[in-house]
Amino acid sequence: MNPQQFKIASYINNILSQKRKSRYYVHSTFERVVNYTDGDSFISITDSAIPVTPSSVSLNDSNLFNLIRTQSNSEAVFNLSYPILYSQETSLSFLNSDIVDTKIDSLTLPSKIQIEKFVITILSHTRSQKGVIQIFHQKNDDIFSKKFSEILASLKENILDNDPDRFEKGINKLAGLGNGLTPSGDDFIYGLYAAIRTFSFKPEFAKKIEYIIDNGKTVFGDISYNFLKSLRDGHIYIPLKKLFRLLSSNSGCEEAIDDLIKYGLTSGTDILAGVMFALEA
Amino acid sequence: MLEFLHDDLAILSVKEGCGEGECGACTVMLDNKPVNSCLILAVEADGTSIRTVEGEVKDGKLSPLQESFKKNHATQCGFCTPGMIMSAQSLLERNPKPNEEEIKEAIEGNFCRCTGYRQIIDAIFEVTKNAK
Amino acid sequence: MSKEYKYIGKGVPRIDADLKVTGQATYVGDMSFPGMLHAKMLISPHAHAKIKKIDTSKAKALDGVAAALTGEDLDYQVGLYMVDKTILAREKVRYHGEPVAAVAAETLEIAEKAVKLIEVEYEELKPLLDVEEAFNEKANLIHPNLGSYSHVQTAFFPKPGTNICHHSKIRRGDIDKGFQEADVIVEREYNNPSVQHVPMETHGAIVQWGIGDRVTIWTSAQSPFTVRNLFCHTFKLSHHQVRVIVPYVGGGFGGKAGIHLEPLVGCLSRATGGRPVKLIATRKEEYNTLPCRCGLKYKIKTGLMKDGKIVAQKLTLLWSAGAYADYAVNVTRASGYSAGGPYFYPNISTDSYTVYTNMVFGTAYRGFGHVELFWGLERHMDYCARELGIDPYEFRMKNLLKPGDITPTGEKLKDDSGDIRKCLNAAAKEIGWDGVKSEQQRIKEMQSGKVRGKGFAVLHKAPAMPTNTSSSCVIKMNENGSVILNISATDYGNGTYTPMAQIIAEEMDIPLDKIHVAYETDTDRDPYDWQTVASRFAPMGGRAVINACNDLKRKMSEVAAKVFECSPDDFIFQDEKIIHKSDPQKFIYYDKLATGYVYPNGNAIGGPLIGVGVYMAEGLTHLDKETGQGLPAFNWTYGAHAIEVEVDVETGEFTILKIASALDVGKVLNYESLKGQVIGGIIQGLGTAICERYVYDNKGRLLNNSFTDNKIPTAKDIPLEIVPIFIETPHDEGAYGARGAAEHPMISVAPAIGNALRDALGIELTEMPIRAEDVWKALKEKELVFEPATV
Repeated sequence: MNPQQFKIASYINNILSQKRKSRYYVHSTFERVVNYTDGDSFISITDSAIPVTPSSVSLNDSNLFNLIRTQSNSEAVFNLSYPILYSQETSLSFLNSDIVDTKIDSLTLPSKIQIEKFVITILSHTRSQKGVIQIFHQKNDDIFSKKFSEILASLKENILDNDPDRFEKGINKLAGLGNGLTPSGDDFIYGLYAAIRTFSFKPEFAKKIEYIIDNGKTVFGDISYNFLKSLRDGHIYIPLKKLFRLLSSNSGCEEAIDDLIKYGLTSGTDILAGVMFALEA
Repeated sequence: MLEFLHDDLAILSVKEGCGEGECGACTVMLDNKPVNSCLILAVEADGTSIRTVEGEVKDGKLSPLQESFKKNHATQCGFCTPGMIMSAQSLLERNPKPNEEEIKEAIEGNFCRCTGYRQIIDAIFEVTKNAK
Repeated sequence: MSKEYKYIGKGVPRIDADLKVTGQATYVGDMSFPGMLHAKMLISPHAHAKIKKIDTSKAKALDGVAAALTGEDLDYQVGLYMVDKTILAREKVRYHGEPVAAVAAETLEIAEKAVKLIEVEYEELKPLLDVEEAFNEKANLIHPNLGSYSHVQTAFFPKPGTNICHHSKIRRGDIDKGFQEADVIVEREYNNPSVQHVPMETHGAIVQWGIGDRVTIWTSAQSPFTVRNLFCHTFKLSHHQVRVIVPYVGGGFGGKAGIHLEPLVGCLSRATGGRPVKLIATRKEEYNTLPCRCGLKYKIKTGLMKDGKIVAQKLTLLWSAGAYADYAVNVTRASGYSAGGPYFYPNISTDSYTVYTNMVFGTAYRGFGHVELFWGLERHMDYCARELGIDPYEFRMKNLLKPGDITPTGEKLKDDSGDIRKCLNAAAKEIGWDGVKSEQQRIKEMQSGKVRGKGFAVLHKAPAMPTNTSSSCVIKMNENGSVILNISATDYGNGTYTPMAQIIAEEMDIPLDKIHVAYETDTDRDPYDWQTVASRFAPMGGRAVINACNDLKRKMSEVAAKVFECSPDDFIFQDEKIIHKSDPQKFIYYDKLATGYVYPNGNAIGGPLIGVGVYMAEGLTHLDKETGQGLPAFNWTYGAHAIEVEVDVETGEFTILKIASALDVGKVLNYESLKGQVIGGIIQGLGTAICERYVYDNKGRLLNNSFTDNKIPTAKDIPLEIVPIFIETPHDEGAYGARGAAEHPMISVAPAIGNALRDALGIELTEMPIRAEDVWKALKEKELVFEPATV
């Protein structure tokens, strides 16, 4: 390792060690995200173009991010027993060097009229977006969409019939469903669970989702598992939190919806789909 | 009997709190047992002895229980007091050294909205300390 | 501050105790007059209906009936702050239990018979029973003429065309910015049902409407001058024509603070040509016809920073006033400006609405909205603390008010405002608070079947009174140097009079057994006092009594100065003597001055000694209509309750092992009396917390209007240990630094229980009352608790 690499490695160690005192390995590398894991949990180093997520560190220095990305490979190991040398290095300026840790609000359910208005806004902003949301636009062209909408239909029934056990089975079917780093099914569950949690309704159903998350490391995608787990632990994706606040205070949600859509390829809209589903149910 | 005592005989200490035997404001002693006078027909009491709180005063002096009530601030608005004293006095005549549970049970049928009962219980207790 | 007094602070027995323990105290129900008639009311069986026809002819024809009246006979409006009520229902009835007609007869039996002979035809209307529904409703108006009612325009703002008869606002800071900055927002809804005061003596009045419109009223009431004032307004009489006499009163708790049966009974007397008429409410009528306490549905939204600081607070209160506004509009206003509780808020927004509903109407009730309000507020504060993973005690300490802070109405607190932190600290220490219970501890205890929990809640209240509230009194010295005090404050169990006697004893150095406080209040004889409510009399009336003592002393000094040919400033007062400061041989016994001083040669100077004292709250202001800013508070009394509870997890039944209640009273005037009031208040608070509430069916009919189904605590329900703690941070204005504490013991008992149950079982209760079945249900349904990962 050259001195600069060492500098970076130590700095990353410092940040990562705030989260867990263990060894982190690179899990996967993408254009804007590098994901590390210690075998149990995940931490992501992200480029500032991506909205901040829980358990991620955002670097506003793109060059540095690229440097980290290129230095990382699946065999690289950051040994946290090295002393911390450059944690206060001024040449490395970071947007956010704390692990994102934002608590979930606890809000009361908006009125029926407010929810209707909200749903209409989401639909109008997602007309051209891909992902699960298309089911709500009534486009069930491919097999994936068909399967998804089947599961959703029975989920809705279970919620309305107040049947938490069958609901649990339905959620299990959604888990891991779809492609991509974060499968659409997982993101959908994220949105659904976040809405139930924030607006404190249907606690029996929330408990079912929590049970699945607590025991479902293998059913979810790796990154989305991390994401869901952090939600379970009480931390929420900031753009989603902002959106819920706006909804609750009956303010304009368009900008916040657009921000959410930007996340990932379809992740943002999949989350929105989950939120919409929960509120309508 | 409540109406007869209060309206006809002008024994005004006997109060109507509910008229259905729940609150105990009309408690008097009938043959030394505490009863809700609103639930008893006057004719039923024919031949019995009735005691009310006026009779507890002897030669212008308050009874030990009445003195204790006064000292311990066991009376605030005073409306439940006559009935309360009759229930308590009856207890002390049957059981000169009751424990706290027994006191609470004896006055359970006497509602008090003002005192919260604590000072009433303390007043009754104080009398038992001096009992033989 | 720790001055040693001879009488002040001591627990001297109540001066009226003798009469009460011997049954010699007379209440309105015990009084009768020659030629007196008995009255009975006919009440409405419907919650909302038009009166199509009403026929009293059969009743009038019954032998022994002297008068029968309906709403049609009485075109008068009554109202304290909002004149929205008639004496008997006219055109329509607005609640189940509303009086529709009344009869006066020779005996009660005949009156009861007569009432049954009155025929009424109703057309039922849809009753509005849910406060939110009534709030939004624009077509079904309970008071279609709301826009034309006269009302106190400086304080109350009705919305004609709706069921909203008042809207109070507080706006301070920038609430939207506050929420934006907040790390977490916690928002929840809370609920309080109606309850009744349940004084042991029900409402009652005897009225004689004499010739020349001279009216004499004997009534079980808290505010004789208010009865007189409103009676005169209603019937357009001059105040000097009406005399109100209040004998012993068997409990009031706010239910007897206004005017209730007196106008009706007065009209019956007038209709019989001036015979005295007596009406005593039955217990059913007390529950169903006489007013109760408003219901409350509310939302609290709090913006918090991670470190526990509150940055934004938004409250929306919907008060279910019932069919008429009575005191409800003022309860809305008073609780509105107090709604934040004793915390500091950089940004706060409060909306407090009074909403008409078709239920028994609400009046003043001990706590004046604060008992209802603090249920939600203190449960909410605990909830916020736990959401943040912070100890609820630390969380409160971080946010409670201190001198120098500005309250939501813009008042800057001073050193003499009181010390809330001391109260919370004392109470929490007394129950041994050592942090929240962990989930593991809880699970372990659950296995034994019984779980314990600790919780606490803070409180504050200022007297809800007009800006020109005043007290006055007269002290008359008798020939033997004893004195008689005339005040028109009433003692309905709250122990009003004894501290006043103690003050005279202290100021004049006259022994207590030579001081008589004229018990009966008589507006013909006694000087004006606003009302005996709001926990304001001891500090204010006490000042009036002190002023009267000073007046007496001044008058004595003037005469003595002539006698000894010195300055009136040269005297002290000791052992019933006025004594020259520098020459103790120069003294005169009070009784030698009582009716004037007589020289050895027979010359007389001076005259009968009468001391007059008045006291007025100064500097109070109205609240701004848009922002609620102003100075409404004469003083603030702070306090805290801490409770340890034990729950049986099989049944949900819980026992309160210990309650510690700390109040900053400024100065204890009579220790035993204050203790009694505090314990009584705690138990009344306990009642609203665990077993009291009004239950209506879906047609708006009250289902539980008797003790059988609407219970209050008995001797067996009290906590095992009650520890009152009195903090004394003197108030600059109150007598001897005292603050009132009459209502405060009742406030915040319920949330302290709710918080203790949360600690014990992890359940979050948001509705009152908390019965065993509610606890059990919450446990079984695994009531929503998201344990933050860090706690």
